[in-house]
Amino acid sequence: MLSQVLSLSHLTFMGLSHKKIYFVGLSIGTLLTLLSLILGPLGFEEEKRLSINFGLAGAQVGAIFLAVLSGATLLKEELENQSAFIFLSKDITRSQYLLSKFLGFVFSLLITLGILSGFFYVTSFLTGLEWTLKILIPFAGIFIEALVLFTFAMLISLVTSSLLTTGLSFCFFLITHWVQTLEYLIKENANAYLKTVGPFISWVVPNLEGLNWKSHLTYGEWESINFYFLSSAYGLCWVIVFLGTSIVVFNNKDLS
Amino acid sequence: MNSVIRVEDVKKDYFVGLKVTKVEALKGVSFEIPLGSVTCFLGPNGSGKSTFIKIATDLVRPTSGKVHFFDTLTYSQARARIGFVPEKPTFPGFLTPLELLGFVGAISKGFKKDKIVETLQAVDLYYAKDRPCGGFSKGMNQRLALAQALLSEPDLLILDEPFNGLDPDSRLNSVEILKSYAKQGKSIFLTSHLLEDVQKVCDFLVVIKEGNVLYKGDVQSLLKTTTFTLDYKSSSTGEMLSLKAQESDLNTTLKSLLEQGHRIWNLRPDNQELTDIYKMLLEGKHAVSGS
Repeated sequence: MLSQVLSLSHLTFMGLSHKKIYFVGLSIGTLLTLLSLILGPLGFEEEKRLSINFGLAGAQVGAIFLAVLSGATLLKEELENQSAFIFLSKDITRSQYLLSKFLGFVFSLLITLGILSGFFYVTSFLTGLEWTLKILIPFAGIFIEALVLFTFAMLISLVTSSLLTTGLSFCFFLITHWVQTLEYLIKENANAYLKTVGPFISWVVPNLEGLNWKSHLTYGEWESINFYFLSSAYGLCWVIVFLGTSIVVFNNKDLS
Repeated sequence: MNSVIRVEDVKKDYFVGLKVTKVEALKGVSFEIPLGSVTCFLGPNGSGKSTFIKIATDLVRPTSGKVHFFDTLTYSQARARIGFVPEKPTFPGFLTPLELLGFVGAISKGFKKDKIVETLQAVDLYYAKDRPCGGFSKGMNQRLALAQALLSEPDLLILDEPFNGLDPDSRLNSVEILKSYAKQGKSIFLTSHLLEDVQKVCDFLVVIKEGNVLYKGDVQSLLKTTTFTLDYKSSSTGEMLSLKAQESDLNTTLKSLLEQGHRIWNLRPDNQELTDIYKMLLEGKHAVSGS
């Protein structure tokens, strides 16, 4: 079973690496990361910090772009052009098929972020950042955030068009980064009803701001290992929720 | 083991819009396909053929009813023994046939690597084994689809419109491949609009219209139930006239003509093609109601 899933993941990875969106995502990320070299000096005293922040933001934009567009089109296109039917008629269940799509994307994302982190390190090194393994921590946050968005987009693509999925996923991305602010505003509000509901919002909508660790590297203000572990587990729980729901929907869907 | 496919009262309803309009794609379809037969599932556009194929291959869930393979198995249990070619087969354009069949083989049970070359040769695609299939013609795509279905040497092939869009050469080639496959005692279930090809390759027929089965039985007995042409000389005007009569009505027609004083000149069976019989079945003019 595992070897079948891995074979299809390999195929998904190859398919993604032949798609234009993959190169567009990678190019956007690379371009923005390299742009930090030009924008850094505009920060006067904060040249190093601005370069780091902008470089990480570039990598995040590239990864998010890739996650949303891949999630919105990967399964949808294969169902529409019937290429999925060829594989689904073989000794593989729908759940395994969906899982292989997810794993294929994970491989693509790892390579994308690997390349972007390489560019980031080179540009940051030029602006005076010293090498430390901690550089990879913000990239881990971006990785988990992209996984949440990919699984969300894949779920939505099972019930609506690719275009609508893309739009909804970008809205979802914005909302998930606003949850923390919303929780704060509710906490400060006098309304008793809102105060009761407030703490549960991040149980209904993922709080992806909790995975935004860019400022930790920018300002050198690191959290405890426990914090990164719990935040990662929180993000991965949302990945499991969206992936699990996708599997349930896909298993019960008429593929016509 | 007697049947390769056994269909029990399969119904499928689709809901259009906000579940306001119910479309009955299949209205209780039942039939049984004998093992080792080449069966064609015929019907006009929108009759429910593709819906049935998708139900049979577990892509669409039926509203009610069951489809069994090899007497008692569900599709999930039997999938290792079934090869499927969808209506419009598409493959990742960057893969060569060798690579594609490698991936297909990797997810198929009991796959042997040396089967890839053998299968590509069987479908006459070996010459293009290293070309990316993104540039393939429709005929080459169809043959590649057939290759992936044949790769694991299935006991049953399910093909949705395998001759669609093919040029005469490719059609002939596909018919020959299917014929040689059937000679090995394997079963084939296909849908097609091209009755000429169907007549060449099929020995069993299921005709469907508006979600109902009109005929199920073997092709030969359908072709045997011919119509006759009667030439007679009119008793009143003396001119030669002719009329067509179904085999079942022949005695009554002859008796009636003789009673009216006409002189029977000639009685000959018509050489019917499947196309004529199919047309009559759809129009409800054919005497055969199916087995």
